Amino acid sequence: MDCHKIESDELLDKYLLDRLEPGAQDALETHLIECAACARELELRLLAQSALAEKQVAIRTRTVQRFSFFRWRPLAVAAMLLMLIGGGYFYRFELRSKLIGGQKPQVATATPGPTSPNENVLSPAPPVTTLEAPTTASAKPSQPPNPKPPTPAPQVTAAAKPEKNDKDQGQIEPGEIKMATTEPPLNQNPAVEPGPLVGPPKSAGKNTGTKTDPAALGLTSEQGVELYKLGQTQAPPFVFPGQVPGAKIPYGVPTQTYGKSVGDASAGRALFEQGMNAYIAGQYVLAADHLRDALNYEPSATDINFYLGICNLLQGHPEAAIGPFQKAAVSRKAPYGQSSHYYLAKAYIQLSKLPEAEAELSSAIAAKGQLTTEAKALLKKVQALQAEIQKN
Amino acid sequence: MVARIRSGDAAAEEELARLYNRQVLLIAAARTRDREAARDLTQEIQIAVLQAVRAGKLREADKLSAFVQGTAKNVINNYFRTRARRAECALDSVSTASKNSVEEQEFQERRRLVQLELERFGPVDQKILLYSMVDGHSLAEVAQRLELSHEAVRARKSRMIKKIMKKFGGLSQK
Repeated sequence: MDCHKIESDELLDKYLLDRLEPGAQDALETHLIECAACARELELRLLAQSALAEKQVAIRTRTVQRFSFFRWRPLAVAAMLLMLIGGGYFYRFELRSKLIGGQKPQVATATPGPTSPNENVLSPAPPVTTLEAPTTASAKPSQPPNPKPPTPAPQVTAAAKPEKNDKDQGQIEPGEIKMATTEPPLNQNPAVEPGPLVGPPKSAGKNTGTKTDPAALGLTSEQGVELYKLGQTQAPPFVFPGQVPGAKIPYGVPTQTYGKSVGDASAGRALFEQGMNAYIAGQYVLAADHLRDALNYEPSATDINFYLGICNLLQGHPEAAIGPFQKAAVSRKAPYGQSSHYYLAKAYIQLSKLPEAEAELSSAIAAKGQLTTEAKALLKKVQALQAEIQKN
Repeated sequence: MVARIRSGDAAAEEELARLYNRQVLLIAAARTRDREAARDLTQEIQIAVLQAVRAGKLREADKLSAFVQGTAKNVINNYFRTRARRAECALDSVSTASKNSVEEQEFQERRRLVQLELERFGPVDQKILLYSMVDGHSLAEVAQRLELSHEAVRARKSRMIKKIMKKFGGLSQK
């Protein structure tokens, strides 16, 4: 055994985690006795491991500032404007110079503005899917593009395709999510804007063995649209017990004492709170991150699994939502029992697994609760769609 | 050195102890995760090695390192089996205690410095280290969790370790 092998095979880390075979461990220890450099590195790794373990709760709950398009949007808008204006002057200058020189311009007239109705680069849609018609479809080519962000009110159109953005936190205005009760039923009032809507994923890239592309299933365009509509999911509201609906616990103000060691349920609760704070703010990627960490402490917790499933669903990862929902459904703990079956059905719909969705909706109806009416209505539509598909 | 120890050379025995004390302490600490127990075990191991060398049980002098490692393994495994304190051999308890407290202070100081350095890393880097070094996830799993590429995680972790080594490599206990 030599230093290079120790570094390339990450043997020191494996040694500290007791993951080496006895023979390899003996060889490594013998080398450590002889090699001062490797011994020094092991000592520092041991110190680092100890320091990390002591601060692990703080590290796990520390916010990761991912790139947010909305933070950089004003700069992006300014940069695009400069490029377009500069491009316009360039072409005008070249056109003028070629005309003066008696030559025809080689390049077709290019004017500032989006080149296609869907190329709404200056007014991007929010990262979490909203069903919204392109706002620049009727924009005149000579006018500068509208830099204002799209309105949050969704307008369902047949041409609109769901967009999936895995990277962004999904900054959503808190007002878009209706805070009603601690139970996770859907918003019953159609007049009130409940929250972001997410449809089925765009492609089958992340699904294994299941074709999610409606065209691959032989669906007509109307059936594809119907499938998409049925798979739409709203973020069920969440309110901390004792909190006023809509109130948010500020970051950095713990409401529970952090656990001091692994296995301490209070650490799981603290991470759950952090996750749900992010959930309330519409930051589903961050929320999912915290909830996954919380599962390290409370792997069977119904609420953690349920909302992790919801976050995965809202991020456009229905396949990742199935496991957590199944765990939450097993507990049958109200109100998560029925809700888990219901949203599990949504996940299956998004994956185009209609028989499985039908089974979950039946379970949701049997479980009884506030989602019974929605589950019955959705089941009826799923069955109708299945019957239509079979006729194809 | 082995021959000198067999002939009763006290200086050679001290040299042996000095040569291997740190490494043996490190191995014992890594295996037991208990500094106090590691110190006790290090003394046991040193004594066991000395006794074995004096008795001529080490056949090949160039295999001394492997012999020390084998002795350390046996003593540590025995410790796990019994988990009981053994009677300490006759040593200068006062000097041992003071040496321990000095060593302990040095260890705590090194730990504090490493901790400060870790706190300077960004949240993503800290999570990379935590998930891989404490939770035991593979770099591929860490990459998937943090939505980074495997190579990016490997490079970042390697950079952080090298940075810590460069900064604190000279502060290791002599």
